[in-house]
Amino acid sequence: MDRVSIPGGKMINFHFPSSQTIVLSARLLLGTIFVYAGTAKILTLETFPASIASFELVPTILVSIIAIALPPIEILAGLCLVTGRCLNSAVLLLCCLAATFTLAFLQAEWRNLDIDCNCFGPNENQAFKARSISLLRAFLLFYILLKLYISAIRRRLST
Amino acid sequence: MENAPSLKRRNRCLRLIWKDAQGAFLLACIGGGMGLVANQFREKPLPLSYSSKTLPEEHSPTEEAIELQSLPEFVSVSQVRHLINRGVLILDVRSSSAFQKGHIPGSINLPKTGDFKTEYAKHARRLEEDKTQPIILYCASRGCQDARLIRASLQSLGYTNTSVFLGGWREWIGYQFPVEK
Repeated sequence: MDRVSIPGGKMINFHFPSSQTIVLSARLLLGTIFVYAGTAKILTLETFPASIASFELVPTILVSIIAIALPPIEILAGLCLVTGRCLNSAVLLLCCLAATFTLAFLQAEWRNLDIDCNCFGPNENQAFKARSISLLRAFLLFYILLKLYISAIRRRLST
Repeated sequence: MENAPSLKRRNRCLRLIWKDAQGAFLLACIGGGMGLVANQFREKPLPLSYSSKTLPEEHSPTEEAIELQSLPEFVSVSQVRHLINRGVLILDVRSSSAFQKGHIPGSINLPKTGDFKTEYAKHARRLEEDKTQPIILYCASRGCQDARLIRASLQSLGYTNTSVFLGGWREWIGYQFPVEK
């Protein structure tokens, strides 16, 4: 419990969430996001290869294989985040995925490509489909996952 | 020169990352493998080789079957090429910036990114001339759903003869067909 001043000069007692609470909340939130994203892609798998191809980043031969393999990987790693099983490996895997997504969006922005992300399925809200918003979202995910992983490494080193 | 404790700490850190990387690789293999196996059990398994130029058979009726008075739900790239010379109205539902960079000749822009009512109002005069006129909608590529969504909106407004060009802009330029800017 901490004493915090509020406008008017009064002091109140405020319970700041501990770092463990923040880490747990972030874990659950990110896990849910990835499980949702993976499920949305699986439900509309027919359209996902074209989305990957629109980034013009991977050879055609790999497009379908990535489209088939990526959603279950997202779901599995997301579930690991939620349940806490293989946690550090899952965080590292999702961190690498988020970094890849960020780079993919960055190159699309750079090359001014007309992409269809379909990150959360084709029925995703139009406002979130814009290329720059997708780039920002991928970077934010990467940043939070990296923070989570670094904090996990520090915790393990200190024990 | 680094002292022994910090060197020891760094080595331990690298060992932890290496261990996690092995676990991450294993997770990716399990997830990816599950996806490939599950795909084989799908009603229509996704082909392992991707081609943007082939349309599913049910979406590619023969050109002879196409009549301007009753367009099918989906049309192929060759059918669009054939139909643009026959007075079909083409609607490009991509963003305005994408439209300005290039579009199918003669098409008008009704972007899905904006408010539908506002965008529709801009072209209402041209569209409402005849609600039974043949209209073909397209968006960026086969992956985007915007053309189908706008088609549904138009149908709710009473347009009875609309069709979606599934391959969209990507397929059009893939065939190096003429482009208007």
